[in-house]
Amino acid sequence: MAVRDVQREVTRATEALQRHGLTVRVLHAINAVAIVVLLVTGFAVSGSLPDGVSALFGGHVSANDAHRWLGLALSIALVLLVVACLRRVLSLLGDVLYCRWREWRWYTGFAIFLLRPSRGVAPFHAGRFDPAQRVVFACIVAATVVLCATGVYLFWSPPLPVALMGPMIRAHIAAAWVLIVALCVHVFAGSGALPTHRGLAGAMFGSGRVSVRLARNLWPGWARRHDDGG
Amino acid sequence: MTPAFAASAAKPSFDIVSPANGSTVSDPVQLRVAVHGVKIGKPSTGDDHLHVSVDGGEVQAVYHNHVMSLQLPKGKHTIGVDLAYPTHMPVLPWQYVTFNVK
Repeated sequence: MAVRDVQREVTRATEALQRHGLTVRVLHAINAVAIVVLLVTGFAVSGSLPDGVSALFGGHVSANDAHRWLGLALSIALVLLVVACLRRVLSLLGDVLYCRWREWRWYTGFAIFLLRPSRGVAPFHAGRFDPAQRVVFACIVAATVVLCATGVYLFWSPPLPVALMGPMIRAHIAAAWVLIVALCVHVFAGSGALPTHRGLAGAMFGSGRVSVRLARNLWPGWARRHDDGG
Repeated sequence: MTPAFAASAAKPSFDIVSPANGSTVSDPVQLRVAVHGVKIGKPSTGDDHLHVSVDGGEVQAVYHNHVMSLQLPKGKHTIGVDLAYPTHMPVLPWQYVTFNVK
């Protein structure tokens, strides 16, 4: 590689790519706040937290009302979002469910890269999201669907049959735990705590841009498609 | 605390056994609620639970039907009790008992 090519490559690596638009970032922030409130009120009304936590929301009844109504509002909002932006949602689902069997090698390759990011080379994958990210997102989507469906049932039970209340609650709680675990991984990765993910938080809670270097490490195929000047 | 009443397979119902309406009792007040036809437990288990409110104050969730010991000042008081689904919606209307603490 000529000196000029190296210089150009260094310049490209410090430039940024637009990962998320303003609308996505705002919706993500609203969703994040709603999920945190739902998780805290959900724990409070399940009897798993001290009464003091319910008191933060105005007491047992208020915490329950907050959980019920916010959960219903979020469920309706998600359904409206799917209806209004069906093509984009299907495209997003396609990116999440994108799967190639040969990508199993990505996990070992990325683990090695994670240990020595300054010397190693990030393994290639063609997806918009990396394979681990897709698993996490698939869990979040599946858990959200179950939480919304069971939550809406519980909202209207009664008059919906109370006999199904027990199974619905158990499914609701199981889905909540899947969501909690998936969100912990999501938040940890997104925080940029890992050396391979430094600067990632800005993609959702900043300008929506990521450096070309970061994009090439995490989503090399996507970076190649969007970094058409490189 | 000891279990006061066991649930049966009958239609859900509950009664405030003590204190009796119009009675005079000493502090702490022993609140006994007889629950029939449902199990009482945490909502996460799918069981129903009790809501208790003293003098119209904040509703407290109670996930057992043991005897409850309530510390109340001298004077007239009203306790409301509600049997609630795990979703915290009422199974039956609230019941109230009014009594004096000497």
